[in-house]
Amino acid sequence: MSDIMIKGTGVERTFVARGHTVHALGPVDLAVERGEFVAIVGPSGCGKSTLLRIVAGLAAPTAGELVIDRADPQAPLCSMVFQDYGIFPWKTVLANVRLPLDIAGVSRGRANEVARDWIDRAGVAGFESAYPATLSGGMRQRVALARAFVANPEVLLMDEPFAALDAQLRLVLQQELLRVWEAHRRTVLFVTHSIDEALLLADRVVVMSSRPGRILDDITVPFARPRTRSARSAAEFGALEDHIWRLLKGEVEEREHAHDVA
Amino acid sequence: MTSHDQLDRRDLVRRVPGPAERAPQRYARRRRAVTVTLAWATPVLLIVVWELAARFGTLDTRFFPAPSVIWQAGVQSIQDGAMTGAVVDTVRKLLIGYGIGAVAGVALGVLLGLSWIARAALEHTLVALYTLPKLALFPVFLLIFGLGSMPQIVLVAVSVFFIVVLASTTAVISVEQGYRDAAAVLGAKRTQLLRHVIIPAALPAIATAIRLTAGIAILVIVGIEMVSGDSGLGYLIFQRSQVFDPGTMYAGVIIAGLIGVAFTGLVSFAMKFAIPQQRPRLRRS
Repeated sequence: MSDIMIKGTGVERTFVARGHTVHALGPVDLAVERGEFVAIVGPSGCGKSTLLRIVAGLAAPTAGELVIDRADPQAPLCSMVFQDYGIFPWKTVLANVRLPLDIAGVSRGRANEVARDWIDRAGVAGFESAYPATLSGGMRQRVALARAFVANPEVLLMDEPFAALDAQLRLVLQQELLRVWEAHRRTVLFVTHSIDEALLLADRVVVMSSRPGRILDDITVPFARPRTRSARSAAEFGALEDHIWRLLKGEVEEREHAHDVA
Repeated sequence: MTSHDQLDRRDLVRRVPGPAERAPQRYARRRRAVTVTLAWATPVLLIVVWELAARFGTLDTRFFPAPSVIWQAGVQSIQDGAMTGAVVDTVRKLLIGYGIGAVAGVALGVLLGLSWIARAALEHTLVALYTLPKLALFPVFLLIFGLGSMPQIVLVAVSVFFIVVLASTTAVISVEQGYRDAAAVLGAKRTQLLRHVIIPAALPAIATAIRLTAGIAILVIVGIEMVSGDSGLGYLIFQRSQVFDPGTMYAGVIIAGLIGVAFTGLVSFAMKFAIPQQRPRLRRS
């Protein structure tokens, strides 16, 4: 029954900077099923973004291996939503959303059609010919979401996509992501600082330790889908949030002390 | 309430709308009108003062002929073809030299920015050559390319090239890694990365170099025409000062200035259009 799509075994990453070796990540063992929404939470600098970059192929592990079982070798494998830099200031909204299709060599007419469709679904219709500089932060992240979905990738990677947004906008965008993802399921790895965000969105929450990041706990989120904001008011939500915070609290404090010494 | 009493009190500081707040559109219009008027008033006033000073003998007209005299000399030199020929000649050399220098500079600069191997091989040599005074190379160009306009064109091209190449290299290197990553995850090939990310992201910085060197190109071409060759605006200006024709000389100087303004303006305008997010939008959408 289980259909493992991403399987990491002993994945590690070290960085060498000015003769110092920094052990950023691992060893991490992680298995993600096809169509699963996995959130990764952990303190700053715990290597969760690095893990995402390894999945994306932007960085290679320095030890261990990570295997991705793609269903269709012809289809695009990954797309990624970044906290910023994701969408390009020199492209219009339409051109930004269309980019994955342009890169894949889809004909312009067809690409425009699909891109407009996703612009519509992401709630940015009417801004097709605007440049990102004229949009609000929330609108920009909607564009980034549309672009991530447009190529129909097998894995969707999200690196703190809502971290730069204000608290209310965040709630709105979380709802939007839930709505879109529940209609178009695919495998998601979602990195966040927010425990609350992880519990609201994900099927599973992976809790990571401070550097070098290892997996402290792997929690299955029990709330039914389609999920709404009301999941937050369940008693279990509070209990899980508390559990994860207890795990992270020690890690964060430890790091603070490490800073004091350094 | 005792607000009336308080309004009369002298120690009260009142915050009230001024003309800019009461009628913002009228205020903005007025301000624009004043800006334009003053911008024209300064040069016009200078010319009028110059004219009067020349006519009443305050200025030595052997060195500072009246603006009206300069105007007549300018018109005369345009009619007899001396000025027109010089302008055409200078602009031709300017466009060819600047074009070659800028295009070659951007091409090599982008290549250097992309390839650390090319950078390792060429960067230090280019920096060393950049610091060399290009004018000092002019005798070499004369030897290689002979007399005529070729060595002058080469000098302009070289002066532009080194600045553009180094600026373009830096521009490409400093493209945010985040932008490259965003395209790389989508599976962009090298050429696609170049087209969709590197070039547009580096363009604003490259455009600055292209704008600056437009001005430098004019300085170089007019300057070198004064000391070498027998054609062009620089030659005309210098030669007329030698034969004591200050009217035409000043006309040449003014026209050189106008060419500079027009050329750099044109290049700036073109650069604005080259950068999509800064492109003036002609059509509402």
